[in-house]
Amino acid sequence: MTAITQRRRDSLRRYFSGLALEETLSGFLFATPFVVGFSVFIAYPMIYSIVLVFQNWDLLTPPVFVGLNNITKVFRDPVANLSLYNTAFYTFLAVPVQLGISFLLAMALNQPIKGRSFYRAGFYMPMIVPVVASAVVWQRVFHPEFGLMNEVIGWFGMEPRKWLWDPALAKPAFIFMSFWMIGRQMVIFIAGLQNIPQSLVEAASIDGAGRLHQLRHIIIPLMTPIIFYNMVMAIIASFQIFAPAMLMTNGGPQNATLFAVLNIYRNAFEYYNMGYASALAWELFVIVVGFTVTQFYVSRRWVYYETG
Amino acid sequence: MSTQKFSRRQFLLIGGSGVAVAALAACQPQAQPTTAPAKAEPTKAAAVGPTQPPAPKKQPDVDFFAWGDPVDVPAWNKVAEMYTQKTGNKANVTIGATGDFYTKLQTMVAGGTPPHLSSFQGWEWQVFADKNVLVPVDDQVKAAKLEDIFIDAPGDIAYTQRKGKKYLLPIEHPTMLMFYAKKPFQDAGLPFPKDDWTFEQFLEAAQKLTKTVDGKKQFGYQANGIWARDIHWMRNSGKQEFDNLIDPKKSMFAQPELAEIIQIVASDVYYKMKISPTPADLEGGANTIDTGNCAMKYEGPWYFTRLNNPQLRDQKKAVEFDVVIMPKYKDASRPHRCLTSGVAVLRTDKVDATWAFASYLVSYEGNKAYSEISGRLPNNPKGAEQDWVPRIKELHGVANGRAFIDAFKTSVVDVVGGVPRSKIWNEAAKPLGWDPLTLGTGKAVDVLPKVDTKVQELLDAYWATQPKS
Repeated sequence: MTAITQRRRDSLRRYFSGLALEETLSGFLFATPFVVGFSVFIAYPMIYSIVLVFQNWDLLTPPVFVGLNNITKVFRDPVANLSLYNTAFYTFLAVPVQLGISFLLAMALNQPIKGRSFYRAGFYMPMIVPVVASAVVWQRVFHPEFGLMNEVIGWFGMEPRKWLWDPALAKPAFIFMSFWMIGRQMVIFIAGLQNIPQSLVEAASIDGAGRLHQLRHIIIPLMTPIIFYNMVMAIIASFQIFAPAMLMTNGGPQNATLFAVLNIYRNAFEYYNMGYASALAWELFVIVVGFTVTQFYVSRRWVYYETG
Repeated sequence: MSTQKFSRRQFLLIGGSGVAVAALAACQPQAQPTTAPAKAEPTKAAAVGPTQPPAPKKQPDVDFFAWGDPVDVPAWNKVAEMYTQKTGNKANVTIGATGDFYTKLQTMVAGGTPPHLSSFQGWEWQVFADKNVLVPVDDQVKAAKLEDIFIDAPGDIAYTQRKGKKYLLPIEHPTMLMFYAKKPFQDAGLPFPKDDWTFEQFLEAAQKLTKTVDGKKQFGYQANGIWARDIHWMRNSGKQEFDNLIDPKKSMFAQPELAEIIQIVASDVYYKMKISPTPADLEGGANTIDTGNCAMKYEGPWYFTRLNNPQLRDQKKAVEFDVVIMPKYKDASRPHRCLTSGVAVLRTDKVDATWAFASYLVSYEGNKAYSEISGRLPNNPKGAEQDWVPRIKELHGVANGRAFIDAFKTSVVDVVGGVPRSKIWNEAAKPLGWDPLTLGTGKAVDVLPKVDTKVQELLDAYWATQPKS
């Protein structure tokens, strides 16, 4: 017993001695800005929002405990369900097409074509345009009278549409708009394509594989980790769509573009139902996390890791 | 002489420590925190003695959270500057964007750092008063002899008082009238509308003024397409959307008389009569009265400068216009909407100093300067008739400015109570009623019962939290 206590004391003394103590302290101090920032701006609000889920709070009077009321309301509220439907509609139609277009673009811009850097920069450019500016631009594109979109469909003899003012077309318009923002995915795909060993492609070529066979049996399998990464990130980003809907349609027409985050924002900062907004936020969090975990689980069947 | 150099490690260590200390310091409460409103004693402010405007004695600085309409911003700053020159005291003006003004205010209150004085629209402050965030100012108003800024009209009383106590100090007493651009009437050979015109004459004129000239659309009327701005039409049907306009308990949108007028002004004007640009047509601002493409629009005095002012006239971009009382419909008393707005004192530890500035802001001198810069209708009859009416004629060419003052005499409140108008609009009237109507996808008789159901839910939820009287 005494020997064990002595060993423990020695261990603690070594731990807190000179250099070890200094290094431990330095480590903590180096990490302090992040730890403070994370604690104050992320962890604390998240934890506090869990507390708020069980309370009603209008910002003006102290919160009132309401038990599970906000959670049950989440499942009964038709507007919350509609916002989830809108978000799912947007995500599941936009993401596959985004991935397809960005992959094809990456393939094209990985070829030794003239002005390749210029095109790459051009397709990435929308990513650095402020959201507000791009929202204004797209409002003009979809304008029913003067918009570019109606001009283009007019070339094919189609009638002008109201796009953002038509409940049936507003979501498809947002999906179309999202294709403008594929620069990041494209750049990551290009990086992935450049990492594919040319020896494999050449070997397949010698064995008589054509371009399509090379694509199907070599390039796509080797790109699956990148496709998976882009897919996970794109789905998470799509679930969080907010600014364009807030700026361009404010959730309308007839709640056709009321996405989940916009609904959370409205409940929190327009209706001042902080507790209910917290419940909605946690519902979305659970959905996104659940979906991401499922993707990781399913990825075992189709994602190929060379080291795995 | 030895030179001691920092190693990279030491530099990062010191830097990290500094950032951490700074971050922790930033989390500390302010040096002079304001009193948290929820914790303040309700009777404390009432016990504070009144102060004569302008305050001659040295007062601590106060923070004024001001409504950020572009026409108001220079006016707020000018009056604050005048106040400092006159008294030596200081009011710090913080401009709040109009889009999320109340969100920011509510967040400041929640964070324990409320401003000392805030702008309010007449229909938005009641929730704050009910939650004990605002200070009643009856005693101070009486002592300062500022009673003449309160008008004895039902709409104005509802917008400045709550449960018998004055909270809102009016900055302006506007109402809204029909604006008409003169050129379309002259081009069509139509006489300008007169104050005794009828709803049928309005529709007839709008139809005659709607046409296409050289491939360019001209509309007779620019509909607003929102409940608040259709309230005028609804009330002139002789009916109202609630059992009471102050603290309503029952939603009554689906009455036949209301459905009839709402169908016309929120939908038929776009899709059946086609006398107004649709919301989609309005996007981009080409088809508006501002460009001369619409002949008439329901607006308020804040719109003058957009249509006609000396600079626009110099640039040959001015739209010559005038105003007229809204047309007669079914209610012979021709009620107009009251849109009083002003400032209210928040319950902080600087009520005296806040009152000193607030009373100067709404005094004849302060309000005159505010009105001259912003173009808004003054808060006192003397200023309105003697100063404002001649001024808007000179600056904006408005010959019938007195119509605003006459219309205000029959003014009615939109609706005030524990469920704010904005909440009724956002959660019920817009998505369930006005969206389908203005998009042409629903009929008033079909959508208004749905609006009633949702509004009733909101009212019931509010009344469920109130003590039974």
